[in-house]
Amino acid sequence: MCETCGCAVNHHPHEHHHGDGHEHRHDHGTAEAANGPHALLALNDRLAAGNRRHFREHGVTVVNIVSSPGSGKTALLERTIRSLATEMRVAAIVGDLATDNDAARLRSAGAPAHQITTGSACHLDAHMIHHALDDIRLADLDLLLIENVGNLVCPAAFDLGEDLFVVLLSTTEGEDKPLKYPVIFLKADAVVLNKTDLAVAVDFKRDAAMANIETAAPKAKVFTTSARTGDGVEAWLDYLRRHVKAKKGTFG
Amino acid sequence: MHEFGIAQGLMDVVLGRAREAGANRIEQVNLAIGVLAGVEEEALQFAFRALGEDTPAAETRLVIEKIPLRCYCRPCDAVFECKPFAYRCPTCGAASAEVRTGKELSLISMEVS
Repeated sequence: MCETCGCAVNHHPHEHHHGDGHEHRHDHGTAEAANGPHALLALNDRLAAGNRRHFREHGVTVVNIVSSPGSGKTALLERTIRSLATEMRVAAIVGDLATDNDAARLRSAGAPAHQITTGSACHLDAHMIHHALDDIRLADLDLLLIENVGNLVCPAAFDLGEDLFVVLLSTTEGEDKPLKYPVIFLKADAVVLNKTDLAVAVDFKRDAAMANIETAAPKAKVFTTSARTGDGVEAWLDYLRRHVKAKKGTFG
Repeated sequence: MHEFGIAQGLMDVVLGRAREAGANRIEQVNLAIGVLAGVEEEALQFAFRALGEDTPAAETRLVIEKIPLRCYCRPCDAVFECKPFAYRCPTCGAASAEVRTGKELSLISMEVS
């Protein structure tokens, strides 16, 4: 049984019968008992806070990475793991609707990887991460990379308990992507512009893209990478190293 | 697509409250949804209607107040209203990502009978 979310407990709504043998009708109007504000994502936010507390207790830096499908999340994480796994303890959680192909790729790159197959859900939520943590020993970790489901809409609404929210976009997607998906970009702590090796082939306008990123994600650090060639990846790795070191130093 | 999950969470709360209040029908549910909440109003309305069939929420009016995006400008020490991806203070032009309103996703109140 899980005490945090009560999963294994029978939490289906159940009726209470008073058994007093007669029916009474009420005309309540606005019922007092039925009122008062309630945050609709309260459960997710509470579970995310629980995740965040666990991560902090173990000094684990957690990165939530989102992008469109096919922007290169897995490729960037493969390269990230290959570089960082020699100097720190890294693990990954990967969300996809189906298959564990991405987790297999990240395992080959050298990190334990836990695949969450969401079925039809278009995002990861704090509850899924909470349960994935059953399989991950936080005490043995410095950095946890969460590859969210490829989607630039829904993952914006679900806090997972991460330290860093990273949005990846690629040159092949066009310069105006940040303006089309403003909600998720505004949330970004960092934006990674990937596939710079293909920029010329797709006539990518870098200045326009950078201006759009700055407009849509004013607080984000920006990195330009080619996960395939490795170009620009070092600055991204340094960014992760700094955060891991800071969190270890504070809480470890 | 995730509106269905949000509607299910909302449904659980309002049906639970209606039951506690001994109500037969939920007349109206009032929500506040920020423009940055990432919730499509029509999809939420549809999901709520679909989930409410054969429950006290079958005829419920779902009234949604859209909360605009407002950011805080440090230089001006003022809050200004803006559109997503145009986070500039109209007075001084400074960019700001300090969101003050616009992320709401809340049940405000409900009426039952």
